[in-house]
Amino acid sequence: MTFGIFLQAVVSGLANASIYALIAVGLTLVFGVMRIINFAHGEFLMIAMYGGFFAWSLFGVDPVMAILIVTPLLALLGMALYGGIVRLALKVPEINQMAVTLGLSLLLQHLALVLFSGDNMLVTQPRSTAGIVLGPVVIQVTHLIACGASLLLLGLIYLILRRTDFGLVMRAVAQSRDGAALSGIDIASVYKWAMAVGVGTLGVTGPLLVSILYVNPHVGALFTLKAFVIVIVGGLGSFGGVLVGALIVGLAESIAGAWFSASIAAAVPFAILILVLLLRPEGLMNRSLAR
Amino acid sequence: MSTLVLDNVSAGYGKVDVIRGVSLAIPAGRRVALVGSNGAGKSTIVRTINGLLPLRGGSISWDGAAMGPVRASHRTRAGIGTVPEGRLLFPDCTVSENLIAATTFGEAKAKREQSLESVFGLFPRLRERAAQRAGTLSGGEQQMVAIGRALMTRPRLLVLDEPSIGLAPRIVAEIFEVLSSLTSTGLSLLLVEQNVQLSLRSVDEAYVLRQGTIVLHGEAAQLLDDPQVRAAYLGQ
Repeated sequence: MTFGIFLQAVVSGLANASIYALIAVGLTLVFGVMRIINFAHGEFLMIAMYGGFFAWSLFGVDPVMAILIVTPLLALLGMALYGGIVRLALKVPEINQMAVTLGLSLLLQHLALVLFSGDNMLVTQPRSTAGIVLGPVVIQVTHLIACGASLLLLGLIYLILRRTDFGLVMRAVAQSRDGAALSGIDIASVYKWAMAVGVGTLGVTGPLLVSILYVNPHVGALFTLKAFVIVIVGGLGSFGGVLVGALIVGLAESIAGAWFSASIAAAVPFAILILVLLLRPEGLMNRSLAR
Repeated sequence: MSTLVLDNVSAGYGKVDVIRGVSLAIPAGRRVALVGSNGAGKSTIVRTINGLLPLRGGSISWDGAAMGPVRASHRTRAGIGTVPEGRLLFPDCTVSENLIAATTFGEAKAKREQSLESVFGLFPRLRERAAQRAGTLSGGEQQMVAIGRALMTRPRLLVLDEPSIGLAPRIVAEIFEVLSSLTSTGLSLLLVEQNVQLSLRSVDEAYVLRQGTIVLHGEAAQLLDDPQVRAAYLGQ
């Protein structure tokens, strides 16, 4: 592998990492606040990708603009998911909660198959093939947009968590549910908003991702798994952990792909997961949403 | 006036009723202690008052109105502040954040800065530690944060569950001094303690709980002299 190829792999890895981080941050937010693992997280990403695709194919809306439509829709879906399913599932044992979100994931996949067929769909625009050349490295414009938007939103989420009452009550509930309730914080309302934000962030990722990657009804499962690996590697429920986890997974995957082959690259995140679970099962940055 | 009345209250966990037929009243501005040995059901009573545990029988009224099966957050917002057993702080949040998190509603929010100043006035140590993570504080300091957090909600009744537990006598004295200064402002107090001597000396009246039922009630000074109490709880 030449240095140029290595550099290219690093740049692509960083771009992927930022997108992964944005997907994983929603998963970890929901887990951190509610202690529920949403196995249907990737399916909501899939829905957001279709949202971006149809906004473009039916109405000619640019994916970047589609974010403004798809994000509120996804946030509403998140609230509906809480009010209709998760609120009830919180009363049953954890193993049943997992079965509920896993069942939802399969249901959504097959609903998508019925509604949208199994065909791969992609937004193709003039900028889809455009790239910016920086010495030996080429950056795809679509990657650059997705990466920039992800970093922007991650920064925004961090500021909201650290600087606003809205973020403070989420962190409070994440750290002590009863302590928060005794502080006058309405737990049900915080859960609803955590779900709205956790799922809503996918409304940003989806339309940008469908300019890079084909959407089909099963695309979500892969992202649920990757987001999972990232949050476990980083430490479940930790914001900083998501960044570290995404960076490790994104870079390792990309460099392994350049060094060996794409099929090795696909296995790398899971190899990392196994290593971390063996050596540091609490995750690399185990702290609750405060950090 | 804000009076809390428990009438014939039963509550418990699983199949067991931990408390049965408990009736007590905390008149406005009074300092009331609930004493009893470990496992008598003191914390269960606290949890039925603050809404973390549902009632199985009887009723609780506050300000003359019955409190339904409401959520704990509503009880806090209605003016019942709790310093819970185990403190239940937000360990990764700073001291200020712990305090501010209790002011995200109504009047508490409007008077946030004012409350923060008064809590820092009561516990100057918390002002020094304002930017420190609550989880890194000493036990006594954490108890101060827990009391401060309850005060931030601007309660009219403050319920304290074992505030002295695990703390050095010097710190306990400091905390109880602050508590007695609070009641001069008209705040009612329910002090739940295993340390019977300490609590009877800090309140106006007291209830004695044994195996889930109230067995004695009277003025604190009287109970301190009661031979039964002296024998059972004061080791005299």
